[in-house]
Amino acid sequence: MQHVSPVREPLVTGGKTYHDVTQDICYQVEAAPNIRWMGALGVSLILLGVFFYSVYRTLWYGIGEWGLNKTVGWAWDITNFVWWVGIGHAGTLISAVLLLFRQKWRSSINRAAEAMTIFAVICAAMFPVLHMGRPWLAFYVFPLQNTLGSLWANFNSPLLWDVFAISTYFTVSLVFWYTGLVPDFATIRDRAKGKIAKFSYSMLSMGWTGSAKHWSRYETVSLILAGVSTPLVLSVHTIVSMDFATSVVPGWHTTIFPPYFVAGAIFSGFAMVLTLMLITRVVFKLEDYITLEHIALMNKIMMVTGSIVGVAYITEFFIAWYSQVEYEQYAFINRATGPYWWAYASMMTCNVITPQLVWFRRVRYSIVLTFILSIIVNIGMWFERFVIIVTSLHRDYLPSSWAMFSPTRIDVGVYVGTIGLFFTLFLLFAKFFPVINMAEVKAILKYTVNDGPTYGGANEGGGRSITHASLAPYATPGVPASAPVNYDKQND
Amino acid sequence: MCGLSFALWMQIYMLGFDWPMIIGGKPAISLPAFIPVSFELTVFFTCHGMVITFYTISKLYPRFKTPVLDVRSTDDKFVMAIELDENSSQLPKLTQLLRENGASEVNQKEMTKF
Repeated sequence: MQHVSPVREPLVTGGKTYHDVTQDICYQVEAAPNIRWMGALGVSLILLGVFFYSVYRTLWYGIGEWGLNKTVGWAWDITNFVWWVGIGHAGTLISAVLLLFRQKWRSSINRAAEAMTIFAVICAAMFPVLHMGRPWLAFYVFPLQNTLGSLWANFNSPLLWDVFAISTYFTVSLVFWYTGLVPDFATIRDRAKGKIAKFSYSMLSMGWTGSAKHWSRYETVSLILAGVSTPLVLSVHTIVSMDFATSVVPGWHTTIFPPYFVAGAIFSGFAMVLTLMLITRVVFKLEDYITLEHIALMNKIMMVTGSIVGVAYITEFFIAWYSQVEYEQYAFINRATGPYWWAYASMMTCNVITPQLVWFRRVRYSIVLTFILSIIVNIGMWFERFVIIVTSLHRDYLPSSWAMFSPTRIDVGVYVGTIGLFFTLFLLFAKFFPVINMAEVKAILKYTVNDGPTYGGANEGGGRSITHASLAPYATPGVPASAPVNYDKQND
Repeated sequence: MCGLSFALWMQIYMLGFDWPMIIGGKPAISLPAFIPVSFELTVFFTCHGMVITFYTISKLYPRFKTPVLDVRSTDDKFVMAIELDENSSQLPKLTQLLRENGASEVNQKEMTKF
């Protein structure tokens, strides 16, 4: 029978057996798509159409279709780029950092979070490539031979570091995600009835048979990948922040940027994970796997990183004053009180005040409030990047070149379009791939012989009742679900 | 190590020897600026090298059909395979042994290739 700790809330509720886990998760893949999924996909496809139209306009007529000008040479495109990359970071954080910290609750959300990483990075990559104006020459960013026409790539440039960081991040996340998917593909393959399903999942599962050798190597590979991905994820956003921090633009030229950007990335990423998970658990009826406990834990991470971001905003302001540099001081005062004060105000409200609400237990455990909070944080983090980029650029050292930026319809179209692209990819993933890592969830279900203590839930008196339930053992009659082993006495 | 040395070689060769350029008045081989790319390539080579090794030694590659001992092994059962000759006299003894030690099912299966 299932062993449940008397003091901790179970990670998976509903008294699931191993077979139930397989059933519940494979059901989504095998069943015909439900109406809510079709509706969501329809909306995403419309937005994807907007994306293609905007990209067509951008490519056909050039970057002039965007609202950029000579002073504000980076605007929505880089804002969206940093926003998407930041969102992607939570996936790796959940799958790698929480694996190293042995946070077992990550098991039921890591698959979807990693998928989110990959799709977010795809969306992010659209912006620099489109901003090149001639995306068909995008391969020039790689170090190609001199004789091809241009010079070697400039390795001193943070933008080139970005190329390496993002491509490494993308490919590493992809193999990490795929390797984790292989055992689950094998499960679906073995359950598949149709010819096409059998064939395609056989191809995808690469002949995984679940042998002990496979599993042992798989565990090792996951652990090392997690170990390597952890510094990778930190380095990626550090390098993204260096795009700004290595310049001499007031408001960008600060050493606080790398940690502040990494915290911001995790903050916005967790907000996006929450948004997605809250939708997924309802659409696919996964309330037993993504429990309120998961939501509360993610809320706590959001609170911590949100507070770090808040401290960073205040520190920036303080340092600008303390530095006694006139330009730096002006940049910050202009941010808060200049023509873009509304963007600054929304950033401060959404990112500094909202996460503090999570201190209340009632907010942390409320699905509706969490959903609203996560959306607000996403908006706030978008404004943060907008504030950093546009307000720093629009009034630089030379007052004669001061300018304002306002987005065009195409700007909005490309941005909204990438949201469509993201959700289209995510919905397709959620339908055809197992959304939850079945193999890992099975590993966190604890089975034991009869008569273990059982978690009875917090009762109304505030205490916890412990019941010694002796439910019928799940395994075949006469066979212990797990043989009792006494490790202490083996060597005697 | 491969990634690190490749990255450093690439950057130093390209910017230091093949086509030195003065960028921002810094020396052609400015090591601090080469650190990010070196780090990223180290990670790149580590991860992909390891994953390729994993798939190779586990003989995992896309195939049309996968022979499995028992389809429930990827769901909720553990399977133990014991190879025996066709006319082995050991079979009843082995079955007995497995049953006594709590096997839930003992099956015989003829497989030509596994």
